Amino acid sequence: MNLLLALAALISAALSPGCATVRVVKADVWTPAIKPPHQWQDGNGAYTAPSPATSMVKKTVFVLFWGFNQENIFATGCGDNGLEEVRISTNVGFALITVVTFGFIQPLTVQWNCAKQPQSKVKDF
Amino acid sequence: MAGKPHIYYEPGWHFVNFHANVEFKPSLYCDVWNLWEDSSAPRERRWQPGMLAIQRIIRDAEDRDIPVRALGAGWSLSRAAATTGCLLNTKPLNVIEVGMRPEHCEQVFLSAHGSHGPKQPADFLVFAQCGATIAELNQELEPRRLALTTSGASNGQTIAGAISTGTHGAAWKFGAIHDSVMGFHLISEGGQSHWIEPASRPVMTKSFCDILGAELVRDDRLFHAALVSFGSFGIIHAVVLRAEPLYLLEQHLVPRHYEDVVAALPDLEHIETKLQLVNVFGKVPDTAPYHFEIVLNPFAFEIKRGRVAEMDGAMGAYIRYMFKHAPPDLQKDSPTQNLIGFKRKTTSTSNEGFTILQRMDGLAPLFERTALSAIIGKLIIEGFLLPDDPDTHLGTVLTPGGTFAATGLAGRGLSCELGIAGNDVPKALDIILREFLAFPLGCMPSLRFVGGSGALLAPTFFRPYTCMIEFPASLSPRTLHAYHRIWIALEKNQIAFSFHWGQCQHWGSTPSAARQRLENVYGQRALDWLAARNKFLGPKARKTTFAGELLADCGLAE
Repeated sequence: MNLLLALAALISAALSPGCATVRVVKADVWTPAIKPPHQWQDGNGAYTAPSPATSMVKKTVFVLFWGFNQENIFATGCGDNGLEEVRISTNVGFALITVVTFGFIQPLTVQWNCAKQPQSKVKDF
Repeated sequence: MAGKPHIYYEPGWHFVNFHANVEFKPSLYCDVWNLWEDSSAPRERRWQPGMLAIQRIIRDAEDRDIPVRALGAGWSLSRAAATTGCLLNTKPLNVIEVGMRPEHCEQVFLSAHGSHGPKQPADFLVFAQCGATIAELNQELEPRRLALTTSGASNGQTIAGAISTGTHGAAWKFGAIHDSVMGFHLISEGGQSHWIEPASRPVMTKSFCDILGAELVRDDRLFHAALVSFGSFGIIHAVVLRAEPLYLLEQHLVPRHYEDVVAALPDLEHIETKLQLVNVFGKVPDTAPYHFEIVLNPFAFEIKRGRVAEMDGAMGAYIRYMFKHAPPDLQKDSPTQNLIGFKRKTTSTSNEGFTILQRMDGLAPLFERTALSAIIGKLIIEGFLLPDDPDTHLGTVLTPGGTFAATGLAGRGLSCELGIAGNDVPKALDIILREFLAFPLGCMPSLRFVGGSGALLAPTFFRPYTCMIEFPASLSPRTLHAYHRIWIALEKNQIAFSFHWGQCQHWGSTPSAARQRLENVYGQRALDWLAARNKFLGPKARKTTFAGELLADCGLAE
């Protein structure tokens, strides 16, 4: 029974998407509203999450020939805005493919979303 | 001069919400931006392309006879955004303007609200486009020494999404986020643009509406009906909120015996005395906490002589309370240099615990038929409920934006939240804890007390306050089964309860049964809501354009 559970856990882990993910996000830009006096700690260094304008777009890419066929992704739909977050992830299955093919095929999952437009000081009201 | 708005259509979109429990495929998915077709942004009226895009999409949807739904941050655990028609991503529409010119405000409003230092009443009004998140609002407000009166437990929701589903904190003397809305800009049938505010409390003038290109509609019933209506009256393009002077929240977490908490509940006005809720000076202040929340550890209970009681030596309830301060007061009188400390993860128990519990669902298939999930849940809950140091009484002291910050981990999960009248809370808790004992679940119910709302279908409509009981847990059939057990048990015992519109809910097994139950709970409010919608929208808009799965499931799509 324990062996079955362990096996099921292993399969579950192998099939779990994004089990190793690297996120590229901009640094936290939270502005402390109340500046603490000298020697006090910054109370508003609270972490903020990315606040994207769009949902994540996901694409699996296969890097072939040890990277000779470099596959670039062109993110569309962001207007003139930049990207908010890029995630690059792999999993046990992808790693296995890479090992079995001696790196000839290297699958990766890439996700990205668009940043919001910055606030303006122009007042209409 | 207005041009054509930039709309980005994404074919074959498969929507999955933030907590991964809702999936659907709209026939059309589009991002709307505050950009013109050539990707240029206007220098003034930056919100105009986004507004025009919404109008155009509504007209297109009407031509195609398909529904149109607005998507916020995608945090709802309900099917509020679900549609087979057009799903419109409003997140890029994030214009925020803090402060209004007095000439755009009604004199009655300006006279009713006093100035605060150099700030005049109009300075507290905040225009926010629908896609602005709570985090963005905090970041715009706090440097100007203003703050939202209340917000949810974290900050990723869009303002329109949060108010449309009834999102709330635990400001038990005030209310929920939607209760700080002064008026809103609704784009409805035929793309018509309306500025809606109560006739009994006018705020904005016609000159303001003229800039928006909106018809001024002052109608109490319509305002209170459309405010919390999950997109059933049209698409909310923008709101005007009333902020308040920046304040600090002094937050504490302390364990208390369940019996003591239940005994103290009928008198929230003096809860600080009854439960000995001390401040950073180690004293019980003479004012009640601004934020009052109870987190239950359901694994600390057993049945003793037919009654639900704590196990020997256990503490079943943890109180998370916050006192509100004007910033200079607390800093001036501080007993310690560490008074304003880092936001510690251990203090936002419900939030962080929730995200960890969500992670458990990956293991759920392995122990679906066992109580192992509950055992893991117990370990997590007891590991996360780390109270204040009883010697120093130091919690955290932060602005609202720092207190209700981002959720640390995103993850799959389920949650349902029930609104219960204050008087029914002790009986409801007894029923809920009995269900947890009979069917263990890895979940720490959190009770937040919220001031009663005037919005007709607000989940927080019970007066003077509503107790919102939330059940965050893993995404698994076991969780759903546990929810059903609780709902059925409460109904059997004739405890009236509402559902949070943005969380798991089950009003009834058929639309007509759901409608009947909804009317039983909300009474005349439900009928007024329907009457307001029937008067405001034509048949096609009611049944197709602004109809959705949630509305149909509740039997309200008439």
